[in-house]
Amino acid sequence: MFGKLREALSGLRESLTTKELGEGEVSEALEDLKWRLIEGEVAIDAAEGLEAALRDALLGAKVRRSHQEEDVEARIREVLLSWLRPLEAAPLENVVQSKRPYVMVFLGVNGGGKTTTVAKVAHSLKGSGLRPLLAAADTFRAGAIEQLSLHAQRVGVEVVSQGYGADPAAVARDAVERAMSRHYDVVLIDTAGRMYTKSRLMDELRKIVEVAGAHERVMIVDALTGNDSVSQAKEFDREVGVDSVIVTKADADVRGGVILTLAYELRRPIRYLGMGQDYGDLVPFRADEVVDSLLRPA
Amino acid sequence: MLESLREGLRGAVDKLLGRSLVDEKAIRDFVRDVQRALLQADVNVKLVLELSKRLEDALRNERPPPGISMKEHAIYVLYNEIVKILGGEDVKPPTPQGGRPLRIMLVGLQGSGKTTTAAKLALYYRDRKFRPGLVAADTYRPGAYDQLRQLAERIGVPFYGDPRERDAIKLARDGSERLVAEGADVIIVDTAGRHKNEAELMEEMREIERVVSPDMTFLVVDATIGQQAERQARAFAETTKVGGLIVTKLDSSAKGGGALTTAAVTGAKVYFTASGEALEDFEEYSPKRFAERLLGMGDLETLVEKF
Ligand SMILES: Nc1nc2c(ncn2[C@@H]2O[C@H](COP(=O)(O)OP(=O)(O)OP(=O)(O)O)[C@@H](O)[C@H]2O)c(=O)[nH]1
Ligand SMILES: Nc1nc2c(ncn2[C@@H]2O[C@H](COP(=O)(O)OP(=O)(O)OP(=O)(O)O)[C@@H](O)[C@H]2O)c(=O)[nH]1
Ligand SMILES: [Mg+2]
Ligand SMILES: [Mg+2]
Repeated sequence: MFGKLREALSGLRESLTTKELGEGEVSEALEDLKWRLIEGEVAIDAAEGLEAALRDALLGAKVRRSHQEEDVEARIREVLLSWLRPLEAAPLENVVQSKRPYVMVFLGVNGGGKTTTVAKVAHSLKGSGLRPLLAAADTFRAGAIEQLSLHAQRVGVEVVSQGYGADPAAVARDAVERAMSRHYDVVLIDTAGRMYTKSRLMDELRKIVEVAGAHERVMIVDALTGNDSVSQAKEFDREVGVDSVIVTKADADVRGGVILTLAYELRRPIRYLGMGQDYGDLVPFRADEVVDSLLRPA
Repeated sequence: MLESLREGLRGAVDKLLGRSLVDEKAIRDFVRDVQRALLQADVNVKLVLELSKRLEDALRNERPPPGISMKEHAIYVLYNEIVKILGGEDVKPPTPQGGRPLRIMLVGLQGSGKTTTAAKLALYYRDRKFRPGLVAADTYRPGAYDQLRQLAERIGVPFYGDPRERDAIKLARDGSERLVAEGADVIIVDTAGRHKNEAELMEEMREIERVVSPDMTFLVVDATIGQQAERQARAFAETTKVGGLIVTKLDSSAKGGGALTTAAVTGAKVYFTASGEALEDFEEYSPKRFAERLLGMGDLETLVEKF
């Protein structure tokens, strides 16, 4: 009997101190957030998609009258986290134990940071006591082989190369075979940058992936990319397939919006963020850190 | 997806053209559609808001000239706003003047296409009977020296570099002097990629500019850059005297709105565009044609001629 009364009283208290969010408040908060997201490099489709998802989460939600803004922000944070958490990847050192050798192909548009990232990942794996082997399967771009070889020298790992003009798939196969016979743990295949608009180059990439028997197709995305990240994600995934992503150049004062775009358009684990040009500048992706940076006022 | 990109401004314009009457609602819709399309083309948010405000003002308060419909007027105003930001009139690429060699320096973010563009520029000048020479002053990225040397060999132009030298400033100075002494009349200095947060590298760029004293510093802008274009462009323009822009990777589906932003921020005009990795994929560009790409329509010319 007292229980009922207590319930009624607490309901009363709640209605005084809390309220439900109405259309007006929600729209205002979301409009503001949308601009913030777009300024934070989120592609427009993703920003609008997120706005819709958030509208559902916020309309009719109960917030404290005295802390309305905080409570709205907390809800928004929750939704963003629910998008980004699933993208956190299991540690690579553990994953590569599943196959020996574990074959990774690095792919993406021109100049995104593939070759540098291959070197960084090799450095990290080596630090965990594993033996990576690199494959110079960019046999096209001027200086690509010297670039990878110099990185390998500095990191202290081996490279398989057949020179310029060689069939990149043959280089990849060569590396995988060598890794099998010499007991390397991981093969990291560097490929030439390419635009998804060139079908011949996409065919070539598909062949590299097949011939190498890749376990993981890692797409490299430059954090400075704007709306083109949508085409990159969709086209590489459709034409070749993408298993994981590494976002590079995240040290360039970006908000990390491209990650939200990728969460919206691609939904694949994000292995690392590239945070600079040194070998150690590779950090695992953490959803809460990206959300903090996105919600930080401009 | 690609579909929605293509729609862009063209969609906004078509929708407006399809209306029987340009009333308050039509203007509001048009401005909103234009905003969305510009944002999708990666034009800076603030710039989009300014531009749409001017567009709205013009549509409300200006009378179209006789013989021009309200709709045509709206499109023309939009086109003009964009062309204005891009610098208005077409520009002529610089050439050596008064027997003095022309000195060009390329700067930009990591991976934007500077080294490739250096070779493309050399080919451009070589084809016009100048004697270009390439200087490798990137001591930072492994293989940068080999990359430029191989490109120089491919097109057969003089090249200066030293893979053991760690001082980019010295390389830039020695290289420019050496190539001039050898008879080159267009000196093109390639520098390392850098971004605004890399203070030491930004300072190095300032020093390189000081010793080279370029007639033209080109900021090489990747067409796929997003909202970061503004802050990055500002940092480059504050550190060096950015005189022109070269927009690369227009073979992507990006529309290059970051370049428009960069033009607005730096006051520099677009001189060249690149749309592929091959050294031939390079052309002079005009603000007018760039605006047409952004607007997604090549037939603007006929409309514009009516004014
Ligand atoms: N600041 C910064 N620069 C990076 C990062 N990752 C790569 N870079 C730089 O970006 C530029 C391009 O990197 P590459 O590794 O050559 O890119 P790529 O994708 O292999 O390029 P292509 O093979 O030509 O398509 C280089 O100058 C790198 O040093 C990063 O995380 N931060
Ligand atoms: N698709 C396409 N690729 C381009 C274009 N211009 C350059 N590239 C490619 O983009 C990548 C990066 O080009 P680079 O010339 O090495 O860029 P960079 O600015 O010198 O790079 P850093 O020196 O590392 O800062 C290479 O793979 C080039 O082949 C273009 O217009 N279209
Ligand atoms: Mg590479
Ligand atoms: Mg370079």
